[in-house]
Amino acid sequence: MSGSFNRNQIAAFTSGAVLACLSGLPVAHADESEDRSRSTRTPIKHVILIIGENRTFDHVFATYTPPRGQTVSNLLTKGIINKDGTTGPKVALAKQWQATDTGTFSISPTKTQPYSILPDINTDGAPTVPFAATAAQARAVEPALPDGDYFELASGGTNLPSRSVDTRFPSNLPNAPVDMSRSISYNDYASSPVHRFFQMWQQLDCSAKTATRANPSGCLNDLFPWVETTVGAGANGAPQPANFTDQTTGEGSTAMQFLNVAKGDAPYFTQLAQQYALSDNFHQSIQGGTGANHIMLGYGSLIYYADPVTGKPKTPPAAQIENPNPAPGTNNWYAEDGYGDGKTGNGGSYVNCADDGQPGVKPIKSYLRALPYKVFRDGDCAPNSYYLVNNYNPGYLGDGTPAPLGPTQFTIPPTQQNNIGLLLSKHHVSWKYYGEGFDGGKEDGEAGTFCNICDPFLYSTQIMTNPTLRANNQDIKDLYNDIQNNTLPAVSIVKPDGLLDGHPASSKLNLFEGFTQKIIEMVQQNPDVWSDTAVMITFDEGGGYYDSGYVQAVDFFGDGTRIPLLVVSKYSRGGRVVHTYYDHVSFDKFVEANWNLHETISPLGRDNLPNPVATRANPYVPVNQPAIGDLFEMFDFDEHRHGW
Amino acid sequence: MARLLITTLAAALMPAAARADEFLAMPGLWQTAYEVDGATAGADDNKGSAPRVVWHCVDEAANPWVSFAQLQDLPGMTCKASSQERSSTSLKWQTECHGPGPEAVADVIEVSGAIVFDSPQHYRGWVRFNGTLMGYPLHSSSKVEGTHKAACTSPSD
Repeated sequence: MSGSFNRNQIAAFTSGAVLACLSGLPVAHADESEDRSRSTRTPIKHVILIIGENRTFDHVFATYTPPRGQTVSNLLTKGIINKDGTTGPKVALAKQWQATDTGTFSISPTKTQPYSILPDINTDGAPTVPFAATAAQARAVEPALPDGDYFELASGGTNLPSRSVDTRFPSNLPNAPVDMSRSISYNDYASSPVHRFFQMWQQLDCSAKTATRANPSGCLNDLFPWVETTVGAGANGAPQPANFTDQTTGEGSTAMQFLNVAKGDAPYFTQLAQQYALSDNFHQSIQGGTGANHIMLGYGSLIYYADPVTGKPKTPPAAQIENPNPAPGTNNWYAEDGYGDGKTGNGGSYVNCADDGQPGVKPIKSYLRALPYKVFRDGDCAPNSYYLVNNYNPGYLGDGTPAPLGPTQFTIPPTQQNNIGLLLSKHHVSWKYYGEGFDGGKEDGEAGTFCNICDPFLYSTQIMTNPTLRANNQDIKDLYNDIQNNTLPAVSIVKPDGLLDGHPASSKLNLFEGFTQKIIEMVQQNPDVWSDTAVMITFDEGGGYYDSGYVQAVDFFGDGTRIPLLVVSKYSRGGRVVHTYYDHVSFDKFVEANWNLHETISPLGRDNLPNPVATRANPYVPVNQPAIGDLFEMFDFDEHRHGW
Repeated sequence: MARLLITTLAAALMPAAARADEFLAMPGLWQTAYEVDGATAGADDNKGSAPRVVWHCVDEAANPWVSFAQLQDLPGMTCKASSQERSSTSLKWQTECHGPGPEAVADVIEVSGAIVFDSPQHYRGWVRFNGTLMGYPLHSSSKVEGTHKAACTSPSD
């Protein structure tokens, strides 16, 4: 538990009866037509969740030192590295291994030997030249940066060919995390590690045999470069290329890179951490990439392939079913994973995890069943349901048109599963999703860099076929207007475009910092908004970067590695570092609790999980796992005595 | 999340200094409609019919010849480009396709086409087929229209 926060106090306050006594607010049973957006348990009347892309906690905050009196778990405090980025006395804690997996998929393959040196880092898709020639040209396309930041879109290219050895980094890298600041500037583009479902399970190397009291999930986090170099971002239905080497997948050891805040990297996020609240135990909710993690945020569980009319589970085209079993004669080259060529439909992103006979399912389920605790709903897999565990397009285009479906379209049919937007609307609490580049549903703003798979509501039949609810999908300029005009909804989810989201290769973290800074400064410049608004900043997932933190096995789908979470509000000051275990669905729990919904998204969702109970000796590992917090520890309302 | 179509953005930003490999087309989900003008062999059913519609994703760093000219082999035939011209807003191509069997009796079809973008989200053009199919003469022409309809995820996301 964090410093001044008292969980029992909050638990008492969050019971309806106590709340009624203290605040005089109607607890429930309000007039059904009443807008209940301001009926909250805390002074927070608006929450804005900003979601960047693909950075683990250690990747960003490896060398972060918190204010006096606070502690943090990162590479520096574990002794894995020194503040200057060199290897530390306990560097062996981050040792990475080679392994062999030639039979069926394993989440804990047989390890052969540790790397003597790491495979060379590869440029993969990092851009040779920046996206614009001048700052002025960048500004003409991109509206969401502070004025002084546009040069970042006009600089930082690698000057190297794509998918080649990244010679900006040294060869003969020791088996250790790689300090990016020793080789490139914070403003330089760099490559992106793999971040797909089965790959991420393997990267963590989880086994009940290695479970301990301090690490009850038994994940060792020691196969990151091996997964990158054996399968990378997926086979895409193709055979393993001839003359396969550790550079063929285009990654090398990219996963081991970290930024160095002690040397000036990520200055704005560091400043926010020093001034407001930082979580060092917030996790991506799904092993895998962008789409699935945004879906988990929106639905509290994953969505499955469904009949678009009835909403009932249905079997997807055969070639779209994941098969991570190694192709014959290969070491870990998945048989079906990724995207095919658009004609065959080969690839695979669906998993029927209720059926142990399906490829890749039994190794994970066996591991979960062997753990010293019971996971959520035996893995949370409904019968005959093929869950989308990687990125496929949503079932609706932004204008409400049903997306084209079929075996050669990588598109999940519309879903009728419940989501946080529907739950909020049911309870008369306002909400919006602001996706930069949405452009009124045309999805063509900012040179076509809108992220469709990031918007959880584009998957939803109930929202996209209802003009009123569909209109809650908006663009970044709508957010700016709502902040400046005091018309923010209660709950806002904000997504930058692909230029500014911080995704390695296609973006940079400084660009996401600028995107965030512009919003926060706008909020702070409006006293009415700043007085009752919390801005939360996190990421969709860790992007496949190494992280040293504990990972709780919640169900079949995750959790995955730690990712940063910052909370900026008048009630989150002081630079506290909060250690309570969270994942994306913690945001849903916060919303449900703060707006007195007394209801979860569905009985299947992780928002039904209890809040963690942990010991002082190890605040990172819930003793009642699986458990995820509701983010109330990120605030200190008592200090202000406002309305409790 | 989606990486960007570098060439697209660069082209949008820097038309005067466009590199040879830059192409002014937006990444995302495209709808392409083919409307047959006429046919003289085995294609009468197409006359007056609704346009054939194809949906496909164009991802970042896409090759415009692959994404928009769609130069794949005709069924059962082997095709080879005989000419290709491109600018940042147009493609023009000519392809010769040969059927299986001895050269003297094998079908030969010449496929030609051109498309011109009037914006990063829209193009018009034509495709023509001239030659023999199963020994019968084939002369067909279609109007082509492509429209960007939405964003699209891709393998590099």
